[in-house]
Amino acid sequence: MNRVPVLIAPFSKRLRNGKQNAKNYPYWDELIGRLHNYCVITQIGSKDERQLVPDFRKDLPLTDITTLVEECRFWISVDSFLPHLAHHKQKPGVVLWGLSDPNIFGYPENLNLIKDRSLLRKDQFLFWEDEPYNVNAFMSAEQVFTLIRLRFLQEI
Amino acid sequence: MDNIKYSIIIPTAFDHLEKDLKPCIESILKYTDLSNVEVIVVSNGCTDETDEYIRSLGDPFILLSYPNALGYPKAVNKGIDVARGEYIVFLNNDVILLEQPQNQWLNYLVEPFVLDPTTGVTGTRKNFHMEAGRHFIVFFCAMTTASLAKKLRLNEEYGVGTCDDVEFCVEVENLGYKLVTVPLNHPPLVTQPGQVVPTSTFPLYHLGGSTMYSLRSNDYHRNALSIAKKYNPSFYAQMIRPKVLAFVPTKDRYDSLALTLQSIALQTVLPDALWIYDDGECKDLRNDCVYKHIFALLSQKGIDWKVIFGAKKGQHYGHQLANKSEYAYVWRLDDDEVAAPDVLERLLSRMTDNVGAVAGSVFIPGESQSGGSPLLTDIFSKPNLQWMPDTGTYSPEHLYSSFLYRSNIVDYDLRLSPKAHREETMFSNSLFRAGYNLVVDTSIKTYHFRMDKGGIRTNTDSDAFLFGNDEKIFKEYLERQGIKIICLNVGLGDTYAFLNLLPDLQKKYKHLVIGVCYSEVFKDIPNITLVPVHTVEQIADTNIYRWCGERRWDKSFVEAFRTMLGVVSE
Repeated sequence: MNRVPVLIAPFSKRLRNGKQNAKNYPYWDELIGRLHNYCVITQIGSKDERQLVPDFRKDLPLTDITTLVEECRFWISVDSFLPHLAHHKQKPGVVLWGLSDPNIFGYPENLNLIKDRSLLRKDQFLFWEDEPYNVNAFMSAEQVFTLIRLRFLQEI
Repeated sequence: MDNIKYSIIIPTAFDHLEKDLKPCIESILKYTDLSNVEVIVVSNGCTDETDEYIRSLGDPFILLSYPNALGYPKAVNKGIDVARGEYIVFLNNDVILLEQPQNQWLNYLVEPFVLDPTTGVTGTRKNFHMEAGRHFIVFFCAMTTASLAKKLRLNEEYGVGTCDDVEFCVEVENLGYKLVTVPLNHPPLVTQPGQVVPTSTFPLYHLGGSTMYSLRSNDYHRNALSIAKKYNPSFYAQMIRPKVLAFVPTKDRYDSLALTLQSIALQTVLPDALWIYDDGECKDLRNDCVYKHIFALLSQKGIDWKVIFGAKKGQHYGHQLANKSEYAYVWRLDDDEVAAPDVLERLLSRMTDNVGAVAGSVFIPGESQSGGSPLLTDIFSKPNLQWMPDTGTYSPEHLYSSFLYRSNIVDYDLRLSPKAHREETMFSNSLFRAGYNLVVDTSIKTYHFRMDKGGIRTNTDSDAFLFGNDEKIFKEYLERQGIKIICLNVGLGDTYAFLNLLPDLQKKYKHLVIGVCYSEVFKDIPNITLVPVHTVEQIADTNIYRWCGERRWDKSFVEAFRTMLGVVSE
């Protein structure tokens, strides 16, 4: 089976107070476990983030990240800079939403996966340093994998 | 009558018979041997019984009568044309010969001609004519040879009069003849520039007023210009030069201000006036041990100076006063700047018809910079061209600090706070927008003795508010020119989100100046200037998160950017 190239940006910006960013998806390991038979996964991020796959490219310049976005079949990210860069390059992907609102910060061409709008934070424009982490705000890895297969992996 | 030796020519006009002419002629009759004299009275435009009086005198009085006033040189030339004497005497109708042996006055006048054939003109007083740059014999009583008089005549282009005697004397000297004051055995009465010495030993009284007071000052000015143009080109250049006002606003810097004023007083070309606009302590400095000498120096140099006390509203109020004055050009310097001696001369030489303002370099000695830009859009990110001495000549869009400009073209913005931040940027750029060129010649040097107190650096509690107010006014000024300032103090993702509206922003504005944290996002995008965020934070209040939070925004983030920046999606 030909596996498709997929780019993942698992983590949002490190918070100034050192706390876990409430935008970070908690089930990456399980999701990657389900995807690896279908996808060749490349991870991007900063050097102090946890490595999730063998191909982890750290602290890349924007030009290189842009190339990876252009070359991948699709990408998977949390609410970070990557969906915005990808939108600029007109490359749809998957965004794993938790407490931030895809209607405000998302783009309609992407697969925006949100568990429950009632769990969104009331004030979408406050600093994230003050936001407690809620693991229950995210869709399960199984649900995410199912929806990704339907959108991007139908031919496999 | 044969063998006429002296032809005395007396022009007279209007109604000077009783007050001037009759006493003059009666004194001639009393003290002159008329046996070898003819007195030619040129009556022109006389409204009294002058003609009848002269006719009644008979020989040797000759009347030349003209119904209209001819002006002094033309009237005298009429007399020259008919004169038969060997020597011609020019005599005003308001001259009275004083008691003397008969003919003494004529003997005094003719003596130099007898002794020295290179004598051209003799007279009782020799003055220095500033505009011609030469000495001349004043023609209220003067003698020349008939040959010289008939050869040169007086220049009738001088109309009513003045400067005709000056030109005659210059031409006489140019032919190699001398101007000699009489009596010969007395110390010569020769004036130096700016000095007038009254006639003393010649037996004559000259009233002076009846002829001079009939002249209008603009007659004199026109004639003075003409004679300067002919004989004194460098002075003529200064006469026709537009008048220059040097303007120095000052606040709490009396120490460095003294250096500024001294540098103005020692210029190779001086300003016509100097205004010191004291918007600080407003102290009377006339008895200060340093300033009394500086003010005396300014006066000695002929600079019309004054001190204006401001109302502490800011130097731009003073600048606008200067800008609206009657002076054609204003040369502005700060109170901590010292101009090299040739600055004004060189700035003036650059002020051609299409130029609105000229500047030189203005820099702290030993601290010149590089990488300056002529563009207004680079004001947030690059040094000013004027901070780079000896790097060439430029045509910028705005000027800094010290420059010479044409007054009464554009205005200073009086809405600025007392800090007057950006006042010269907006003013000079307005000149540029009005169609004038701005010139910076960095070889023309003014030294900035930067002070850590005084001026706009006088710290007050309201500094941030005042600077912020001025930056807002400057931002509005820029937007009127099609320049939009945006501060993107946001993360990388939000910066990419902003890119969505960039094409529409570029359709709306001629140029974008964007303060960014991630400049690499904007690689290769034309017509934008990227600057560090901190340089535009105060001027561009575009905090998108605060804006959204205040409005409880629930639409897309890109739409929020569009709405905040007033850009409609097409």
